[in-house]
Amino acid sequence: MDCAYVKRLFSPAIDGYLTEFEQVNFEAHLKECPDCQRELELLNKISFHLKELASLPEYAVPDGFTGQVMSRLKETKKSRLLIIPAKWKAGFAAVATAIIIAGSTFGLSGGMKIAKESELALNGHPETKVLEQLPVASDMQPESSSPDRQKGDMLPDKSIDTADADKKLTDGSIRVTSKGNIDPVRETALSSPPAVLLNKDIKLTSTLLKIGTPFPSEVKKKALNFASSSGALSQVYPEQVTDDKKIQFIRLNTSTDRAPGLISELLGMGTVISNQGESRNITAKYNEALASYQELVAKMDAGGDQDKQVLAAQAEALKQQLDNWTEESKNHAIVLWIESPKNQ
Amino acid sequence: MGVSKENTVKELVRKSQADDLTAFEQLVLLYQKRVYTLGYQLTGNYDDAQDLSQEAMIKAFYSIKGFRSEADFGTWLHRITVNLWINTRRKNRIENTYSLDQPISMENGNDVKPDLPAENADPLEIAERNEFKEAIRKSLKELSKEHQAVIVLREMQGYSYEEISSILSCSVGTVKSRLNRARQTLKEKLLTSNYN
Repeated sequence: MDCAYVKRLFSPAIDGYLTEFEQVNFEAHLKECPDCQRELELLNKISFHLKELASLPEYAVPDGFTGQVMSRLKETKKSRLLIIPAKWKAGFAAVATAIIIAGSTFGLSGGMKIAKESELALNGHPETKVLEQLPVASDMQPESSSPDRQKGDMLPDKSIDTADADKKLTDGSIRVTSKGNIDPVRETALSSPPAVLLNKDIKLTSTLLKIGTPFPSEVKKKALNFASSSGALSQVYPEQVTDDKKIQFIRLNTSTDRAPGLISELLGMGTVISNQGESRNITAKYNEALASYQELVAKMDAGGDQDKQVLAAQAEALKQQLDNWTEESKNHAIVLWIESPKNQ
Repeated sequence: MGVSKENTVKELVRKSQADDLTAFEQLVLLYQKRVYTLGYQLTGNYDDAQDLSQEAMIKAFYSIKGFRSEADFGTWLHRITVNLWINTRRKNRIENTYSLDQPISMENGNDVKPDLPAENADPLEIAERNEFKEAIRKSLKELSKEHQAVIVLREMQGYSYEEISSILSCSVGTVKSRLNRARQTLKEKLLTSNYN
C-alpha cells in the first residue's frame, strides 16, 4: 500500500468501515510511515472534537418553537385553501379552470415572469409564497433577529416572484408587530377597504384552448414567443402525464382587447380539440368577501376578545383576494392546453 | 425508541396524513429538538437554525402523505432539513477566514490571538490549544454545503453510511468518498488557517 491509497482509507478507518483485508494492510503501512500516522492522528482528533460539538447548550430549542411552527403552518394552510379550490384535485377537466382561478390569486398579473417555469404542482401542493411572505402575526420574529433575512430563503426556489409580496407590504397591507399590536404606520390600510361595493358587475373572463400536436415542445415555444411579443404574461406549469398522453399547460394573461388576436394565433398552432370561452360573474362573491372583510376590520377596531393577530391575518387574506379579483377582471386569462401522445 | 412511543408516532403520522393539525403539532413537539439541533449544526447560528427547522417542519406537513410508515420519522425529518439547507441559495454566506495578525473573534465573545507555531511544529500541538474546537467550527463553515452536510450527519448525528446515503439520496460509495474528501478538506482548511 502506498501513501495515496492509504489516505483514501483514513475516513473509513475512523468510522470502522474497513474490510479485514484493508485493515491489516492499513495497519502495516502505518507502522512504517510516520507521516500517515500523524495525519491519521490529526483526523482522529478532528473527528473527536466534532463529536463533542454534537451537543452544546446552544442547541436548546428556543421557547415557543412548536407554537411558531403551528402558527406559520396555519397561515400557509389558509393561503393554500384560498388558492386551491376543491377543483384542483378533481382531475384534468377542472384543472384548467383552477389554473385560471389560481392565477388570479397568485397575483401573477403583477409579478408573473415571462415564460418562466413554475413549480406549481397540479396534483400536489402548490408552493406559493405570496401570502406566506406576509408578516402575519404568527410569522413575526422579533425585529432584532436578522432583519435582512428573507423568510423564503429556506424553501426551494420558486419562480413566482415573491417581490410582489414585499411590494404588497409597502402598498398598505397590514403589519402586526412582534408584540401583537397593529403597526400604527400601516393601520390605516385596514380602515380603507380595497374597493367599495360594486354597482357594476365584476367578471373574470377566460378561455380554455385545447390543442393537440405531436410536437408539444415546438408548440410551447411558439406560443410563448408569440405571447411574449404581443405583451402577454405567461406562466408555464409542469407537464402532466396520464396513461396515454402528456399535457402541457400555459397560462397567458393579456388585456381584453388583445385576447381575440392571441387566441386566433394559438388556434393555428395545432389541431383544435376545443375552444371554450367563459365569463364568470363574481360580483356576488366579491361583495360577500368585501362584507366579511369589513366585518373583520370592525371587529379589530372594536378590540374584542378575539386575537387581533388572527383577525389581521384573515383580513389580509381577504384583502388580497379582493385586490386580485379586481386586477384580474381587467384582463383576459387564456389557458392553453397542449396535448400530445405519451410516446412523444 | 420504545414500542409505545413508536406506535404513538405512527398514529400521529397517520392522523397528520389525514390533515389533523393537532396530531402534527404533537409530532413537532416530539421532534423539535432533533430537527432544531441539526438545523443549528448545519447553519451554525440561532436565526438560521430557527428558520431552517421551522421551514423543515412546515415542508414536512405538506409532504407527510408521502411518508412511509416503515421509515424512521426523525430520519425523514432530517432528510427534509438537510436537503432544504443544501438547496438554499448561498447568499449571505460569511466567509470565515483567519488572519495571523488579527485576533479570532470567538462566538463566546472572547478574542483569541493565534500563536504562531514554529515552522516545524507538530500539527497535533494545535489540537492542544483551547481554540481548536472553535477553529474546527469555522473551518467547517468554509466547506461546501455537501461536505458540511456529510460531516455533520456522520460526526455530529452519528448516522451510518447507509443512512446518510438515504438522507442525501446518493450511493454508499458516494458517501464514503465524499466523507473522505470532506475530512481532508476540513483538515487542510484548519491547517491553512493556522499556518497561513
